[in-house]
Formats: sequence, structure tokens, C-alpha cells
Amino acid sequence: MPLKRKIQELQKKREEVLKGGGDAAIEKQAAMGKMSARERIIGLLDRDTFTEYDLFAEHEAKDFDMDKKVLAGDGVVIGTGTIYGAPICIFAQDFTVAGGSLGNMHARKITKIMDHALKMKMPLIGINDSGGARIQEGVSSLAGYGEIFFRNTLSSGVIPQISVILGPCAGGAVYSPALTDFVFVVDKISKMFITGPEVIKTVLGEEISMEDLGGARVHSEITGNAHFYSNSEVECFEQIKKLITFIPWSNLRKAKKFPPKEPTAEYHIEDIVPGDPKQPYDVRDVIRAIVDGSDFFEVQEMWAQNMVIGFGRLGGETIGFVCNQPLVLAGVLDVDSSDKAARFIRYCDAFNIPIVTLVDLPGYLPGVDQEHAGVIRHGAKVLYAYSEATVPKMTVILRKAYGGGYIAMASRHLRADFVFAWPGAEIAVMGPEGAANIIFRKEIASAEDPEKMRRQKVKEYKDKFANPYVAAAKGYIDSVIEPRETRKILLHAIEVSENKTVYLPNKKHGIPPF
Amino acid sequence: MAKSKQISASGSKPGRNRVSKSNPPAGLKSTPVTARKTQSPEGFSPGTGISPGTGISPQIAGKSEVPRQNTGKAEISQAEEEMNGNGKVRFKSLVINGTKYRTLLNQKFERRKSWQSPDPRKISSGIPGTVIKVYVEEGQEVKEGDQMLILEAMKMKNRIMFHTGGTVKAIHVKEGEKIPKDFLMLELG
Repeated sequence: MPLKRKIQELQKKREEVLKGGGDAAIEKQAAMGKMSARERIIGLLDRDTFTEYDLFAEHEAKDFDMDKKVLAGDGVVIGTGTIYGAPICIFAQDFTVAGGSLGNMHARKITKIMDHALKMKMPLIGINDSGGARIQEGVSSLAGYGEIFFRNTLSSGVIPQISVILGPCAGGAVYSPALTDFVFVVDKISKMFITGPEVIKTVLGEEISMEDLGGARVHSEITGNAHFYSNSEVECFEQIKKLITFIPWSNLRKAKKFPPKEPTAEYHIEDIVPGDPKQPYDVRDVIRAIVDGSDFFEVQEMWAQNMVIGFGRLGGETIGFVCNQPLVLAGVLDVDSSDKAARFIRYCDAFNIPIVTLVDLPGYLPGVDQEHAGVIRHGAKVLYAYSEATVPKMTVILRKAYGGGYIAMASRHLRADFVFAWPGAEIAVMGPEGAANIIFRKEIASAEDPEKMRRQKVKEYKDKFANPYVAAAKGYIDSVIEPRETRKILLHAIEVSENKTVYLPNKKHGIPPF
Repeated sequence: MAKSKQISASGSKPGRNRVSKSNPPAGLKSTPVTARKTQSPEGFSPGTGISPGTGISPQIAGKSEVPRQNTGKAEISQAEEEMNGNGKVRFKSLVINGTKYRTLLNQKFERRKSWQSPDPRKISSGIPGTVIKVYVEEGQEVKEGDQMLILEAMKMKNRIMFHTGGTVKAIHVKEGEKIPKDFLMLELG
């Protein structure tokens, strides 16, 4: 057979497989508002950069008449490409082929691309759209999941791992996304749960819709499993692309530097934070007043909103921001916000991203529910993450920093490299009202006019301690700065911490309060 | 799931990350102004209306505030509504260590259950399931370790025993009945 014929034969074979689950299944997928696996990959990667592997993979299952079935690519598409020039390994489950169910070959394709990503130190993106384990393949499909989880864990902190949930992702399958760094969900399309509504109904008699049980909003607002929420697949891809610009290719590199840019003129840093520590404001406006182009890319925007985390740039370099949000729950630390901050700090530390912490918090959230939910254990994560982080750590105390919250939020004592405070900063064990009530309890109780005495004592305490100078005198704060000097001094701090080196005690690994 | 609009106090829309490189969404333009607006509303000057220990007095600046829930020392009250940028925003108060902060509350916080100390005489289900067998009758004397009932759950027949003795005052389940978690099954007198 001449080579030309063989080439034609190859072309024909390719066409066959590229049809996926066939026109009917693709139409059904489209009717659900979903793209096909290859459309998604092409939508995400730079034009004409996708190179597919294992196109001709076939499953080896024999039971239940499986040997008579041909499954195109065994229900998953794998390959490499680039996003804004960054090399990417990608896999996308194809729901049109046997419901994207995971069998042995399907899993072997995924682990192949995962191994490649780890070896070549490239970010990995996984698009999940699968009915779950391929039941006909029995324990082989379970083994497949296990192999994937193992690789997710090995790759953690070495290469960025991104999970995109564009369809169902149920049962054991949810643990691969849970082990990765960032999870993207899309309204009405993403569904994640361990046991579905059917099982819950039969076993427990509780009726709930898939959307209410594990839809995109649930995971973005309530569980904190998802990091980015969007309304369409296209919007989701734009978010992923933007994230890729902020993070490095692996832990051996720094994130790509962009040309520096001034913040836009609309944010007046001196007008954002009210002088009275009891008044709310949106800390994201402070971030936008500081970062390049006022461009702040928030992570987990809808969950534990009393803590704001996300990426911005200073002088073109990617910075991770961890900030109390006085707008919600007065910016307290609680179970969820501690969890959120701690994980992000560890992410930044693993991938050489300096951390800027903006502090304005009244302390920890009191309450039986918090104590019983383990605020001690969860709160400790923040201390652990900051203490352990060796990337440059810059702290700006915007207003109040009370009690344990002061210590936890990247204080000098947890080895922040630079601690700055605005002139309105109050660093104390608690707010003046609470402190005066305790210290001057007797004087207040025995006074002729207790209320008047109380107010007087609160004022006394405030005058003496509600300022940054007591801490500055002890060297716990390096400099008291004007708000408008913030950007400049942070740029300088980053510049001079370029060669930061820290020696930590040798250990296999620590035991964080997971 | 609808509540996240609370946060639009900032003027920025929740729920989606802006992907435009440098243009923040339109609503944001007013934010610096918004920040100024929220300053020094009446009645929130330091010390006003806060009585030691209790946190909130019922009357603040002429507005009656009803403490709604009381868990530990965090106390919230219905607070004022005010116009802010793109609509009404409902700020509330949260008291921490005697200081009252104006802020928004999140869904999880507002939905939290207030603590009730458990009554050892009231026995509830620890897991949802089906009552297969009830061994006791109302009025019967029981002692610690006696069998109470079998609750089938998660494919297991769980034997439920009495953790304390007494007289069975009331039985609220029947054999064959499906019950949810925390369902009051039986009361001791």
C-alpha cells in the first residue's frame, strides 16, 4: 500500500474518533448548554496549540458485553498546548462517550498526562464531566481513581493543578478536584457531591435537588470547595486564562513579570478607610488602590467573605493578598475564614509568590457554634501557615489589630519581614471598650455615675493604647506610614527581599492542624 | 442561595470574578464615595448605647433595636437600612468584646443554630434510619444498658440501649417508621 493510502487511512481513523460519542450524543450535550470535550480544550488553549495524545486508545474490558463496544478515546481527551504562551497539560472527560465514565484505559490516559505534567513541570488542567466509575469495569475503575488521587498529591505544591467542573462530578471522583489547587465551577452546569439526591432520598428520606445539594453556588458560597464561579463556560475559560497569568509554571520558577503599571486614579486610598474602627468599608478598594492597574483577581469571592484573598501585581510581580474584610462580619477570624486564608498562604508559599497581608480585625468570632466547629483547630492553621511561609511577607495594619487576631495576621512574631502601620492603627489585646470594662471594673462600678466613668476610662485607654506607636516603640512595627505611601513602601520591600533566604529545621514534613 | 447580594454594599457585584484586564465593573467607580458615605452615621459614636456586659442597649439613636439571637458574646441586632451606591444595604451590628461594629452578616452566620443544652431524658436519633423493633412500652421501668429499639441505618441494624435508667414516659416512634436525624424517639420520666 503506498504511503499516500496509509495517510488517508490515518485521516479516516482520526475522523472516526473525533466524532466522540456521535452526533446524537453531541447534540444532547449542546442542549444542556455544554460544549464538547474538544471544543472546551480549544476554547481554553492558545489557537492551534493543542496536540492530542492517545487518540486511538481502546478499553480492554470484556465483561457485560463490553468487548463488543467501541468507545472513542475511551471517553477522555488528553494533550498539551499553551495558554498565553505558558505550557499546559490538559485532560477533558468526554460525556458523549459512555457518559464520560472512568474505566481503566480512561484513567491510564489521565495519569499519563499527569505524569507528563509533573516530569515537565507544567501546570495541569483537568476538565471533569463524568457520570463516575464505569461499573462494568469494577475494581479496575476504582484503581484508576486511586492512581489519579496519588498523582494529585505528589504534584501538589510542585506544579499548579486546576480542576474545572463542567458537568457531574460525583462520588469518589470529587476527590481529585479536592486535592488540586483551584476548582472552577459554572452555574447550572457543575454538580459535585459524594452521594446524589437519589441515594439521599432512599436512605434518609430527604428530598433535595442536585443544584441545591452540590451546584455551583453551593460550592462557591457554602462549602468553599470551589474557588471561581462563573455563569458560562466561556466566562470560566477567561477566568482560568487570567489565573494562569498570575501563577508560575512550577515551584521552580517565579510567576511571569508584567510591565509595571500605576493604580487607576479612581481609588483614593486616604478616603476608603473610615477613622472610626467600628465603621465598615470594602478592603478590596484598598487593594485596588495599591496594585498595578487596580487589577485585583479575587479567589473564593463568595465564601467566607470576612476574609479576602486573591492575586494582584506590584511593580509587575505577582503578589498574594490576604486581608480582613470589615464589610462582612466585621472582618473577624472564624472557622471558614481561617481555613480560606491558611490554604491560600500555603499556595503562595509553595509557588514563590510574596504575601501582602492587610490587617483590620476585631479578633475571633465568639459563639458556641464556632467553638464547637473547632475554631481552635482551624484558627491554628493561620498561625501555622504564616509561620511556615518563607516567601517575603509584608504586613500593613490598616486600622485595628486586636488580641489573637493581631498575632495571627502575619505579625512580626510569626516572622513577617516588614510590618507597616497606618497612623490610625490600634494594636491592643482588645478594643478600648472591652479593655476599659475589665481594667477599670471597680472604678466604674463604684463611681457615682458609672456610665460617665466608663466613658472617661474608655477615652483614657484609647488615648494611651489605641495607636501604633506603642508597638512601634518595641520594634514590632517597622514603620508608621501615611496611607498614600503604602504602594511605594511595598514596592521597595519587594525589591529588597529578592534574595530572601530562610533556614528552617530539617524535617520530613510538619503536622499542620488539618 | 440568593443572599449574596448583601455584599453589594461595596458596589461590586459578587459571584463572579472580573476577567477584564484593567477595567473594573461600572459599579466600582462610585466606591470611594461610598466609603465616605458610610462614615459617622448618627448614634454610633464610641461608647454610645453600649452597656457593660450586655453589649447592646435596646434604644440606639431613637431606633428600637431588637436583639435577635444570642450566642456567646456575639450579638447582632436589626440595624438601619441605608441607601448606598446601587440600592438598599442592610448593615447590622456585631458586638465583639464589648465593641459594636457596623457590618454585613453572611448567610452561614445568620442561619446558625443557637445552642441548647441537651436533656438526657429526651432520646433522639443520632442517625437517620428505619425503626425495626421497639423493645419497651410506655410506663415501663428501665435500667441502664436495657435494649430500647433497633434503628436500621446505612445497612446496619443499630441496637439502641438506655444510657440511664428511669420510667418510659413517652414513645414517639412506631415499628417500621422512617425517621430523620435528631428525631425525638423516646422520653424518660
